[in-house]
Amino acid sequence: MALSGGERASMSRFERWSIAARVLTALLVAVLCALLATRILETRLLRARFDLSQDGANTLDPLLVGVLARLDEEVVVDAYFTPSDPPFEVVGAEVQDRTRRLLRLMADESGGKLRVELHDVARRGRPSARAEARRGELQLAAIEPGGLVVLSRGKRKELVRLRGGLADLDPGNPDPRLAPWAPARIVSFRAEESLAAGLLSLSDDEEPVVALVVGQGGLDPRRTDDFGATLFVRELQDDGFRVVQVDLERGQPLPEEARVVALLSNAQPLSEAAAKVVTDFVDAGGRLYASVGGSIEGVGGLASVVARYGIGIDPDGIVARGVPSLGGALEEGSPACADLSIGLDGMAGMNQVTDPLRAAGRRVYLRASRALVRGAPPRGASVIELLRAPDKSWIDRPDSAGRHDWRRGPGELAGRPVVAMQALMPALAPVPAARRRADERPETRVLVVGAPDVAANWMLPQNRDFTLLCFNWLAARDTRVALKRQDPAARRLDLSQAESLSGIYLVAVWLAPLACALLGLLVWWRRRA
Amino acid sequence: MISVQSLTRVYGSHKALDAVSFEIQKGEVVGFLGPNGAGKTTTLRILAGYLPPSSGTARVAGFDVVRDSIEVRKRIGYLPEAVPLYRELRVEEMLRFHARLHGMERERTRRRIGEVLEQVQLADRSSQLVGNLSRGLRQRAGLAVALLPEPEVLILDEPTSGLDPIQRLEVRALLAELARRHTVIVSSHILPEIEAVCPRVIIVAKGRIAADGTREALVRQLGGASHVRLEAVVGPDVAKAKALLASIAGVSQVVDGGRVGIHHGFDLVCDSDLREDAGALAAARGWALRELSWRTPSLEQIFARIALSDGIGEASGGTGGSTSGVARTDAATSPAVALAGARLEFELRATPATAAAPAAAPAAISGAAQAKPKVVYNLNPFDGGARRDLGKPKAIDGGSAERKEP
Amino acid sequence: MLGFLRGCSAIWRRELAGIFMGPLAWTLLVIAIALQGLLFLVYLKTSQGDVDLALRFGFGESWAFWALAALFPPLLTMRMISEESRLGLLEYLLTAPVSDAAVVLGKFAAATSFMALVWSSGLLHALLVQAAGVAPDWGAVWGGWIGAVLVSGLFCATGLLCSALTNTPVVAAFGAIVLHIVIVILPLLSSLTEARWIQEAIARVDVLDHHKATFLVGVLDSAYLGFFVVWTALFLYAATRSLEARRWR
Repeated sequence: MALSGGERASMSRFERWSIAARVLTALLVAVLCALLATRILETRLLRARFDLSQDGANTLDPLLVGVLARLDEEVVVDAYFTPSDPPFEVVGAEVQDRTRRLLRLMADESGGKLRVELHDVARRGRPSARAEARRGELQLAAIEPGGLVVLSRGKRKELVRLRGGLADLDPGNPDPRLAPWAPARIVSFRAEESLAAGLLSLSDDEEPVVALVVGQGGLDPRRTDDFGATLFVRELQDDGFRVVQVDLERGQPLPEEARVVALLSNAQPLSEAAAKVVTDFVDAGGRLYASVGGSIEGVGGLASVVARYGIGIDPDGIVARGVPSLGGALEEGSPACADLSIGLDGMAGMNQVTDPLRAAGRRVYLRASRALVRGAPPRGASVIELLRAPDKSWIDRPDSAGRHDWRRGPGELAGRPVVAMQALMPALAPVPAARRRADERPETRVLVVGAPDVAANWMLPQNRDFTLLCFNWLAARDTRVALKRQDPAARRLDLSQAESLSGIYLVAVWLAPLACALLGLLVWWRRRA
Repeated sequence: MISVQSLTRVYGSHKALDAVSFEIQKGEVVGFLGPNGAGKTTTLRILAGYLPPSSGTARVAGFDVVRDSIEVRKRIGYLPEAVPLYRELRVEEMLRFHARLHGMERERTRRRIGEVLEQVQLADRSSQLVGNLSRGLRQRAGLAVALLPEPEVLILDEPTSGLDPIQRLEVRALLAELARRHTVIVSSHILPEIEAVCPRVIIVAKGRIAADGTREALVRQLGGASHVRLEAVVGPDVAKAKALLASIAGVSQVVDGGRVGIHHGFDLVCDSDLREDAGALAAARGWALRELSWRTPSLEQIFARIALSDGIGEASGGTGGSTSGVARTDAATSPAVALAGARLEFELRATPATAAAPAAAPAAISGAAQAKPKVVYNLNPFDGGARRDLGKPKAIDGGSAERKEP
Repeated sequence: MLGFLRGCSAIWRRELAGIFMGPLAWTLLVIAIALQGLLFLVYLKTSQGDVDLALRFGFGESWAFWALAALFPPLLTMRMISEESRLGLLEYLLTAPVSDAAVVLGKFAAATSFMALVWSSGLLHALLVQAAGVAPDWGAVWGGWIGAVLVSGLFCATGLLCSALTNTPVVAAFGAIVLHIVIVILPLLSSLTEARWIQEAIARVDVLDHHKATFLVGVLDSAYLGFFVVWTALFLYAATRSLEARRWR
């Protein structure tokens, strides 16, 4: 015990340091344990997830879950979000917000296979160095307003744009002078489907080629107005097809590896030679998509081309139906009678094309469609009536001047005319080597839609799913498009009603705090003495 | 009931308790006596399960305080010096909380609260906020809390500190009543409190047990001799007067008490009261007698001696009579201490009655001894709150903080 | 085990009662409820009546939520251990037949219960909106409330740890607030750096994201629930050991 003061102090200092060291190591071990535990809890085996939200908005569609589970390579998702141009600022931001959340869910679900990088230009004002570097790597020229999502796997990449990809937006009517002001709104939020489709096509190394026959006055893939086909081309490309424009009249040959030939509402018939090219192609295990346009007669006309495969086109009638009025009665006599909206009851059952549409409650919209009839199919062929007009429809015949009265006249048959038809049969001619696929029987498939504008720019948004389903069936691919239930509109309180808001104001800002304060005073008073 | 073996508690390099051992049987009432910083509170805290000992063992009610701490805590009622009660609660609420902590059922709780409030005479203040009670009442409330679960052992740390004399008497009466039904340890630095309540006393100083036994046994064993005090004018020849006094039959020793004015004081160490003989001698010699008194040792003197010096003689005369009566002296570590101006009553020498080794530290009676500042450790590490280096002693009264090592 | 729970619940009750017997708790409650109420109306207006979005703001998307979540728990927990130690009340608790862990857990439960009450103002807002005619997404509302309670639990645990480490309440509160500010601005720091490993490390412990991405939108994910539970348990364990260490001081 006889220690000097200095010795005594240093011993306790050593003790103190050793205690501190022990505490520090214990702390470190505890933190590592915590990190390990959280890591273990994230594995799929131990994970349980309950989506309490009302519409299951946070649960991924099972198809997408399946796609994510099947990812074998890492897929990088670069999301570039930029401010949208007017009038889409608000809805664009909402779409970006929801997409962000969706990407987060997908990343969680993929178990590491999906790597999401958010380049948030909208929030920060200017892109970060990393965003610029990635843009260079991905060879993106420019990013359109609103932004886009790039899925890349190795060298391949798929782009999903905001407008038309992540969501369909309606600009509303921003100019109140012409019509009552209507805000922009989201028609449908489709990010999940688009991203799923993008992932699928990334995984699928094959890109079926669609040969679009141009030069006949049909839907022009270079026109961006309502009657152009730019959206059609883009949708097919986004879905994993490669679209090639072929001018048969000028002698351009069909590409060797082409899978589907598309005749989009040609106004003039094909020349005989061109028609032969087409029929030779289709006979040899090829696929044909045709929408009925202006002229169908003649040797190279559409009617004779498809009659070969058992599909007949009624030449001069247009399928019409009365317009439902407010009272419920069907009113005839207006050109609107030519607008057909085909729902569940008009779709063929147990059919690859219509089953997904029926499951999601989607409709197909046709205007001025011809009627199709069953013809004389070759041996072994099956002809399927894909779409029928709703009941109480008839085929309206024009008068001698070519005008329609849109009333059901005596000679005009009522019923449910067929407006879209499928035909499939074993290949009529041997399949050339370039197109032969090992896992498939050589088959010819034909699909005809009676309306000219079904794939036009102004109608494609409504008929997008139907069109893609047709092409997927023609190319004999799995159903690509995952259709979800309609996304609901946000629940909104009507702010124009003053009472509701003032009621909330009163209770939330005054009553509740006051009640608390009174309670507190009561407690204080009771415990004073 | 309570058994402590070689209990040691070390703070840094300072020993607050140094191999303390004692035993307390069921039903005993023991007083822990010692100056501030002796280690009383530390011992009680260890018994209550608050502090763990650095070495040694302590068992309460058959359970080890370290290994079965919760079992021990279930069976004791502990009242710390600060009387910690939640100030914002009412007395009743505090009692109910305590009952819940002890897992008492509702019926028993209700009954016990009534009984215990009656016992401490707080029945009329049961719904008063604890923070509004005076110190004395709060002490009683703390006692009520400690008593609530009918503990086997009561541990009370300075139960009368801060009270006025009347309140102290009340607490003493209460303790006396409790003593009948519980095993009680009371600690205090005020001797009269302990004397009044506890038949058995354990004196601690500097972390060690200085004495352990009933009052009479201690006085008998450690008290030093009784003596006759004589102050008179004896004339110039002091040595002759001293020899004369020594010649009285029965006087074993005469201690020169020093000169006070014209009177001279003598202490005649003897067995029986020889005042008459001494008085007769004084009258025969014609000394002007000023004082003639019979002084017997008391516990107070023993305590003072122990408290003021570092001499430690340990003689255990406890009723259990189990511990060994080894007296240890630590002459090496006990510096000579004298308070300037203080006078010890008698010389510090072992009485012929004990076989124990002589207690160390001779008293320097004359004022010529150097005055060294008295330095006492404050061992309460929670004092001041902040982490303190207990290697540096903190002086309590006056003096520098440095301590010169022997 | 039963004894542990009994002691824990006794301490929980007393601490909660004690919280409500002081003026601080009521002041905080009134301020929080009034502020949240006011801000809820602002959110409703800026989101053009989107009730789900407005409720989400109140439960985790706004700076006000994180300010309240970071600042209130330290004020509640600062005195729980540090001042009790000064008043000698800790000696009382530590000599009662309850384990140290029960003491810490009981105090933690009381502080978190108070915070749960603070966040229930969001539930009130959802009810008001429903009464006004538009039913909110109750799954997301409950998820947001649960997430807010978990976040507050984590912050109460850190507050308790700071309280156990010092004897001065102000120092404890200060330390806890600094810690909380670090936790809340951590994801912002992640955007400052370009190093991927730092970003990934921060992403693992990003409390804001773990609340906003899952609980706030109505998803109860066991992995993120486990995250909060594990880290809260870590801090509570550290607080218990720190409490034990006081006996040795």
